[in-house]
Amino acid sequence: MNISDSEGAGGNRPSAPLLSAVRADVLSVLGLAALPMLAGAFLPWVLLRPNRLAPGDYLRLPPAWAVLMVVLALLPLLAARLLPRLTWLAAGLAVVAVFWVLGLQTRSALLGQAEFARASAAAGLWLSGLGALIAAYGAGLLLPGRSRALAWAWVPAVLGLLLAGHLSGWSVLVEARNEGPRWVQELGQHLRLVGTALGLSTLIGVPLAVWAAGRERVAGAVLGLANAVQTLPSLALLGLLIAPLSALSTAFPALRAAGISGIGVAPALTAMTLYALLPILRNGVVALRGVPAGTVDAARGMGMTGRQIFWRVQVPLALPVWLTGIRQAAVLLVGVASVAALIGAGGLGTYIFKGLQSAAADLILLGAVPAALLAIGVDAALRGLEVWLGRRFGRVG
Amino acid sequence: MTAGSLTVARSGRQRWPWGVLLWPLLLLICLIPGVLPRLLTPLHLGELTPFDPPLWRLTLTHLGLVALSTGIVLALGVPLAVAVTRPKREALRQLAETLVGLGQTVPTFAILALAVPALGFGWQPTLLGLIVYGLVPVVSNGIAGLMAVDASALDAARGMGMTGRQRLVRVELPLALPVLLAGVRTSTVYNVGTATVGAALGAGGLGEPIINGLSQQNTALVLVGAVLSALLALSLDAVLSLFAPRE
Repeated sequence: MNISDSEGAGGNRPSAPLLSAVRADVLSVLGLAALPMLAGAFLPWVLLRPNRLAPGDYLRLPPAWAVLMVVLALLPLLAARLLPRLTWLAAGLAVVAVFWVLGLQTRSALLGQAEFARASAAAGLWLSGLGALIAAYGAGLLLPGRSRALAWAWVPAVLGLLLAGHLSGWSVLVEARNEGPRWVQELGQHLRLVGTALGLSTLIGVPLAVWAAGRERVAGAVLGLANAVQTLPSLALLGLLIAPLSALSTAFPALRAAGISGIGVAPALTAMTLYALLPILRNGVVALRGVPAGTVDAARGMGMTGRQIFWRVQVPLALPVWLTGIRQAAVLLVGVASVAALIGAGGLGTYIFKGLQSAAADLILLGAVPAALLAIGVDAALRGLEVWLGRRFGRVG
Repeated sequence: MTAGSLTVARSGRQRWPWGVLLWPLLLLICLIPGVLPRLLTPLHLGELTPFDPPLWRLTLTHLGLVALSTGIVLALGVPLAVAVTRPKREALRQLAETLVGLGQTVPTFAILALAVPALGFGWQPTLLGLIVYGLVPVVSNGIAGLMAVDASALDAARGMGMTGRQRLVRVELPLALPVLLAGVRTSTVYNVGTATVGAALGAGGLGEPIINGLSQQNTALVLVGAVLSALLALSLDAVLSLFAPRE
């Protein structure tokens, strides 16, 4: 019952003492990571099927490999006790080993099989991979400051395995090879949809936010509306837009010639723009209104004109929060774009729906995993931009 | 300026929550057999045959999925948030926050679809997706609420001789409750939307007319599903706003 104990439950601690406080319970994170890895070592790793739709056999790891996976599951824990500085290496090794073993096992399963045979990953692999990634995350918490990047050392190694073709037997990559240029096209379409909607909503939302922020009633109404539309299911919003757009295209053949109709890219883009407008508007209004009145007064006292105050004081101070809204919008859009495949807009969702229709898990993965990685990548990139801008201009609200 | 934004928020909270009556009433009117077809026929968007299963049953399925997932989310999420905010569990808390952040980032539809290979078609993968996705706001708000509890309040409780459990139940949880409830509201309302997408996995619910209408190019059918699911989301949001006003 000492003072430092009481601080643990609330309040923010400075980062230096955090590191030492963390060390003890990083062990519990690593222990948590070891559980799925241990279970994974004894569960089937590969599902071998005569073709991509037929039922198949589950293959376990050969005993030697299972023992290796058990050792790798316990290695990070051991390293954290004995050589905390090298825990990242043990955990990274576990992640790389999971992919390495996946490559070996899928290829050996396919030996002597017909051309259409598929070797997909089963529960054992997923659990081991999950555990190894959590271990890598936990190992990162043991590293101070900049060396934390070492916890990501497994990324280039796994990418290397992927590019070297070591994983070429894995059914998802077989499917990707078959789809080839079409997959790249859908990825491009996904990016185009997200980029266009984000650009449009930024173009509309930024001036609108500036206009609304200065007006009390309008600001309240904008925030209320933004919250209301955000409650609507994205699929419902897509559906609601189909009717007016298809009515428009029937009424004006010129519009139909321009490619605007109830189904396809136009309603998808309209819905996506509307959806993305809200976080941009909301955060813009909140950020601009959050600029301290004293700062604006001081700028006025320095003899700045209204225009100068806006560009040199309000915008730089509001920018980081505003960018948070744009990041939320971008992440949201990656998700909505994958549903937009339903109304024929294309994108990675096409593979998810194709996979769902034909009950082909590999196709689902081919759409869902890149969509997830894309969202994570967009989020990380824009977060980096925010941190950089925040450091440059300071932060409000 | 700060004072101004405060007034906006306060006047919004004091206003009579007319949505609590309006949205459920509209939803009920639309569910009376024959009302929606009669409204949509003059628009000439497509044929509407009598619904099978009836719309009210689809609505109940939808509501049931959302309620079940919210119940499971509360049973899992609150203990999880409490467990990782105990003293000396910083690393676990960071792990939970990272995982929750990932859950927020990964597209809903991807989470739903990834559950299909493991669980097959039907309502099961949708329920799993709803739980995973619903955990995000509950856990993150739970952690935020519990972390925001003033250290001096905890010290006072300790000074009064409360045990750790008493501090949690009588001090921390009551103080964190408003933030936690806001998370429950967000989680529930978003799950109405997620459950709509779940119709693509065969979960039934109000997404079913939308999906069927899209595949049959029947805009009227799409509108039926879209209007009803939008009204359901607005109704739930309005009702829950009574317990958890937005900050």
